[in-house]
Amino acid sequence: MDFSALHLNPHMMAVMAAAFLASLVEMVEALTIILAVGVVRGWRPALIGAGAGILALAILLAFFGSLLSTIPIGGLQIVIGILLLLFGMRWLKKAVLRSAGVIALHDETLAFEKERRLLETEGLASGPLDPVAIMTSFKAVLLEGLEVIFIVIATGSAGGMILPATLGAAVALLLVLLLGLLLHRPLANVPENLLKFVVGILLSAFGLFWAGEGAGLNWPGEDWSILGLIAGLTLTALLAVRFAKAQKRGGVTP
Amino acid sequence: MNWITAAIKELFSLFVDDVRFTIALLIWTGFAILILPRLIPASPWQGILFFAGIALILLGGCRAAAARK
Repeated sequence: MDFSALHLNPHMMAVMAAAFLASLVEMVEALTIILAVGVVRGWRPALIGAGAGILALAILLAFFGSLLSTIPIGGLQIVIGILLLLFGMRWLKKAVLRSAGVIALHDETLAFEKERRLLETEGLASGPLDPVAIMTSFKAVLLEGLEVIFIVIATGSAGGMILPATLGAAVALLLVLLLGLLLHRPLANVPENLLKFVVGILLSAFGLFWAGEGAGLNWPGEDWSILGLIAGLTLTALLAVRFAKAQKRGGVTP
Repeated sequence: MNWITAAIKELFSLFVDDVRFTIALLIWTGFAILILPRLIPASPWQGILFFAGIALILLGGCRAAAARK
């Protein structure tokens, strides 16, 4: 890795922040399931499943990473930009609806209890390995990790910033692993909806910018317009929370 | 096979959970990429209008989703 390429600028800081925050949210969700598996079925299958999930993700990352380098940058920016826009706007809309009380907030303690009850009802392992526990742990890492991989590749590749995006995700992984080892319980105090709100704004801003840039659209202020997009999307999302609150009918649905 | 279907569904759900919202985003993005440069060539208004459309879709999508709940 060429760390000399890391000259910090606002664009790079935003990429690192987006990759770090998004990875943090996904890894906290994966950790909750791994902890439930570990507590109910034992730590050995929980860690075997998580390790296999990480290995599968590494293979996917290597495959798609090398595939991306063969695509021309203009086409790559449009495709990645549109995917990032869809991904970011989905997160942002959900965060807006949660902030407005239209849908319930995600609760890691509840998710942990639900997973724990589910694992307790499954039959115990007959052999030395516990396939139910391994598969649960494996799927949690693979599915949550897929989102992390997409975010790292998408935010990193279109702007030539794979290294800062990977660093952002790696710091999140270390932080979640450390907290998981220290606490041995779900990270319920992470302000998940606020993180999703911020990440939704950042990813949507990158998606908008790169889809437009790839198509040759003109932006006021060129690269600096990404900060304007972040500010504009923040204002729009806050307005959307007010709209959704005003429109809300009835109670909160889970 | 169930596992593969679940993985494909999971991949799809990364980008789509409200079909109408996603279609609106795709239509506006297509318009911005293909038509806007012909309507207003070489102008920073291209980017501003692209953003404005996306912002309106977010406002409309959140309002409609809140009304449906």
